[in-house]
Amino acid sequence: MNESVIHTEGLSRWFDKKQAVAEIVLDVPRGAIFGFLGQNGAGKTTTIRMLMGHLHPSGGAVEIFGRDPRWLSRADRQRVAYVSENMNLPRWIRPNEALALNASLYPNWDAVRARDLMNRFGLEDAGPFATFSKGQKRALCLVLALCTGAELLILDEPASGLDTAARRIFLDALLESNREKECTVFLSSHMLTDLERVVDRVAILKAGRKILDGELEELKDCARVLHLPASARRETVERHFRVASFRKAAEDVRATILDFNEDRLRALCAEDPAYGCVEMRGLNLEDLFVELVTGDLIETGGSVV
Amino acid sequence: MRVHIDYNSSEPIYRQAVEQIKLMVVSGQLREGDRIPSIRELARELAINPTTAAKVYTELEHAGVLTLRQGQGAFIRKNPSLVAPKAVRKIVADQAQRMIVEGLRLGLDGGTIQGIVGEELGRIAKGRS
Repeated sequence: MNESVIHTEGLSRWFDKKQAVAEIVLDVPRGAIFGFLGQNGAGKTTTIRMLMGHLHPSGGAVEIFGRDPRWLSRADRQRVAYVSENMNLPRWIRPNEALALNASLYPNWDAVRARDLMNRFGLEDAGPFATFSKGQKRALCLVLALCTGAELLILDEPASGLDTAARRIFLDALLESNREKECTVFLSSHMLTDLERVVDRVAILKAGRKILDGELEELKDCARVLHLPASARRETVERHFRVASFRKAAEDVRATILDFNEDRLRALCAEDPAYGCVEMRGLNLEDLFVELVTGDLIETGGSVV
Repeated sequence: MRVHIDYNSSEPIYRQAVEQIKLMVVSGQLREGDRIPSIRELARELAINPTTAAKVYTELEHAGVLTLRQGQGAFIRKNPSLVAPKAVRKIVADQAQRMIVEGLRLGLDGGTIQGIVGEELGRIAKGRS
């Protein structure tokens, strides 16, 4: 169960003099739904292209099923399905032809499920690919990936262009693949409110570096915003907590911390009576993401949780 | 069993489910021996990640609220007999202390805190009868 389907070690990539990805360590356990988050330009797509073997790392190593993705056998390739950020099919291809093509490429192709999903997305009677809307194109590419029977799905911004109803269909299908077929999923997305329900682990990228990695439910369990008196100092708080951001407002200071527990809070309060009345609140995934990417947390090598 | 989850709450999904199921037990909506959905069924019903659903059951089993029987599913236990009566008192006293400290720290007085406890007890007892 703890076997890693995706493993990277010090993964880096330079484009000319710009470092797009810097020493990323990732471990995606079998059966996980792993959310790969970051702002535009944080290095998500570059990382994903290296995972797929489409781009060579400038440094470090990638393994998919324990092997270098550039040298996967045909049989191992059939264990992975990928939807890139701007995936396109030939203009003339019709949905049935696209499905038939994938059925011939993937030995575990699930034709029954493909028909069902085409139906749910309302794509059964669609014409050639060129006549599709952006959302329909996306939906068809997702159906093609979801029905391959692959053990690993790598999806770059899968939900972009999908409307609310289509996103729901897609997420339910994703959970179904994970639940019924133990499919491992690695996906990047900006739709944090969608991700919050389906992912069990997240990694957050900022300027090419991984700044946080862990189980989502544990992160939420331990992340808090503390409202501190205006006199609060970062060093004091850092003696007790791991601080993701520290913002001075007009009347108080708001510190986002990642490892809350009551004993630590008591110890902080005991240090200075000014901390005696600390208000606090929890963070959902979106709050946490914003605090992390706009804060100044220093990256970590491994997992926090 | 009806569990309502706010997916975008700051409260972890597993914790929302655990608290609601515990409440169903103490208010009598779930009784000893009742079979509750399997991990997979719960994951499907709530449309959540199976790992999260598994966490709900691990927590509840650990707390003595349910037992998992191989191949049969999850069943409600009556009393968490894993815990000695004396220890139960201590668990509750610890929780109460934490709540009182928090209340006082945020500026409530003792009477108000007592009032809140009474109201909540009343609410749960009402569900029970």
